[in-house]
Amino acid sequence: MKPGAIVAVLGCAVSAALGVRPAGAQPFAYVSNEWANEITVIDVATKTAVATIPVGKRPRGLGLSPDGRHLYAALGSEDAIAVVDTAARKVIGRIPAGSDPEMFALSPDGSRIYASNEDANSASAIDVRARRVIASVTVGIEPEGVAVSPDGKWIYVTSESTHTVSIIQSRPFKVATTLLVGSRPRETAFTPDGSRAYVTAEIGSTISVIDVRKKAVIGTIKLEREGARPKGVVVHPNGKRAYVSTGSGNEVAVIDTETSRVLSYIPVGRRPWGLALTRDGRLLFTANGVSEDVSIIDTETGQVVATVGAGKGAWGVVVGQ
Amino acid sequence: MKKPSRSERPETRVGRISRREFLFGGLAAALPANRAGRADLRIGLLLPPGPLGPSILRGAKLGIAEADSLAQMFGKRIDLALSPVPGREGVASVASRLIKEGVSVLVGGGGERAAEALREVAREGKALFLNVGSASDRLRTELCDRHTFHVHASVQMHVGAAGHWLIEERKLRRWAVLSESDEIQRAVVAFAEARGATVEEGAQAVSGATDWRPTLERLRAAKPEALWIGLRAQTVPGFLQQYGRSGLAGELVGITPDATGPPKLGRAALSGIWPVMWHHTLEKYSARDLNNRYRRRFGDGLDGANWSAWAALKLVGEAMLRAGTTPQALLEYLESDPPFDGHKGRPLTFRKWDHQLRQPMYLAQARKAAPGESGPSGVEVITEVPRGDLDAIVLPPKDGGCLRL
Repeated sequence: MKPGAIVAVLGCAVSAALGVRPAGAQPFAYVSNEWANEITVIDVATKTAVATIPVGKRPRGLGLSPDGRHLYAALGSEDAIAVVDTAARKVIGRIPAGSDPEMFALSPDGSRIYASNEDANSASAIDVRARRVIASVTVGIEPEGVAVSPDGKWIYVTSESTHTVSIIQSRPFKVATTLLVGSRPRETAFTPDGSRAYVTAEIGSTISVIDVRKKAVIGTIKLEREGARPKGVVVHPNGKRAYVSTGSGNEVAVIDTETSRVLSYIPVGRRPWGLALTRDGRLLFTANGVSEDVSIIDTETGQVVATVGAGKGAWGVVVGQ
Repeated sequence: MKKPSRSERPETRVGRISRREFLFGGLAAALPANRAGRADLRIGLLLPPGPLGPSILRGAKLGIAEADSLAQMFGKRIDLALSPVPGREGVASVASRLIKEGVSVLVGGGGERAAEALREVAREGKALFLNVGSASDRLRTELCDRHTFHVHASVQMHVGAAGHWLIEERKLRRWAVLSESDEIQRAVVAFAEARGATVEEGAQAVSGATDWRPTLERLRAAKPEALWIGLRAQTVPGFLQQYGRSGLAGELVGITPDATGPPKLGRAALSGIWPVMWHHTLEKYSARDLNNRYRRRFGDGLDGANWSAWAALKLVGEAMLRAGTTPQALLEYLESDPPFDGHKGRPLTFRKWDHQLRQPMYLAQARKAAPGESGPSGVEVITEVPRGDLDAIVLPPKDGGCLRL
């Protein structure tokens, strides 16, 4: 046995003896509860809430480090991103993140956090280890959603009031181009191969399809559904389906990525906002803000298989791998 | 042709409002080289005399800043030509001159006559007119024109918002109306007839009246569940004072569709429910973000007239990027139901049959005093109306609507 492996085994044994669950032993979903100032922890296997973590004021956007050991939560009322030890289930630090941080994304290697700064109309790159902003660029008005391409080269930042997506090169950190998309763009999701990006637009009720290589909008999908306000978006690991939460529409739209057609709408809790998929893509989680719960969808059957209570103002969700 | 006097000459450059003030930080540095050239779109802003003018100007400043910010990202430029209007008679000549100088879109309309003049100039000059200052229903019906779009909410929308709430939420269907404006009185009666309410007493208020005792006695006899008032700003305080003393208990609804908001009265003096287009305390659906942007720039709260002007400029800027710069391209785009984000939480579109921007309204009332608190009350929003279909606060068009598109 290699020395590193011995250390790992010993670490697990010590953790077990102390009653601490090692990170990554089984997947958990983490749900930010905006008005309860806490994170709900859901055991993915049993589909039950197993813990809550007090995290700070107004948690919304979430991210997990690649190794699953650290959960990051944007604290809108504390101008910071909280760092949570997922094994100990407690906050171990805070990273300054500018005024009223709402959403952010981690680089694939976990070394950087990219965040939008709404009041400053800017996006920032934060060094996770140094816990400081290392670069900043101007984007559109009211920046919101942040996503990183699978290869880590591109950061997409939506700006709600200018209806734009700023495409930012990661190194050096600079805006490469800006695209006009639907009215009030919220979030972006990339296909696993990084060839396409999907951008939701809440007021436009559309999803813009972007060719990542060409940096161009190549299609627009309209949700022809009363009350649908597209917000969260994720793409299945097989790249064939995109899932979009519709906010006040109380549904998740299922989109065929090959045809750009809406295949179905799945009724979930009230005001689904954040979305997350398990690594194998079999389960989809929706954080439902008004019903204060999480709907768990079996993506093969398109049915909700469990509803788990969360906290007041359930907002974002991530799933550990 | 008569040369316009100095006072009629419009200020046709942005210069009076510092260019720097318009731009958002680092964006200016990222301008492409061709930005030094001719503007891609010129908008003329005609400021009415009176309190509405400064309010429209402030909203327009924020609107053009944001529209130009967006335009810059795509190498475009929008210029705003400002012009105070030297009296109602001067509106047409100033607007005509602006169009000759290359303005494609007129924004303004303080009151019905000014708005009517701008509508006529826009129609003849094949420009667009965005009305941000007149609630007149007549402009949206018998005087409607394809080149005119109404961002400002109509009299009917103000009445419909409160009427819908009285009927659906308060279950109050026996009304009386006291108005100095025929238009408000007609709108209340029409809404009541269409929605199953009755108007027990309809009185035309005498302008400048100070003694309301005879009117209040008639109201006492009629016993309405709700009283609508459509009085001039200077008339309202005296009426509310006597109404308060009268002991009448019905719900009071104040309609001030062409003003910047409810009368700014002391806490004890302001009573009733007042429909407004916007309020600086709104927070939901990103309203807080817009209010914050305005507050950062001007230090105080955004009101309905500010919102109208902001929305008009923002709308035109977005239309230019998505459709083109010619008036015809802009017109066709605005008629195509593009969803406008007015920070009201849902897509706002121009109605096909009268070119009115469909939008939720808000009902405001005097804010309750905290213990020991005195001084001006300010108002607070109690609800958004309607919650569902935006056409619930207007009546269906006669004969398919004025425009019959």
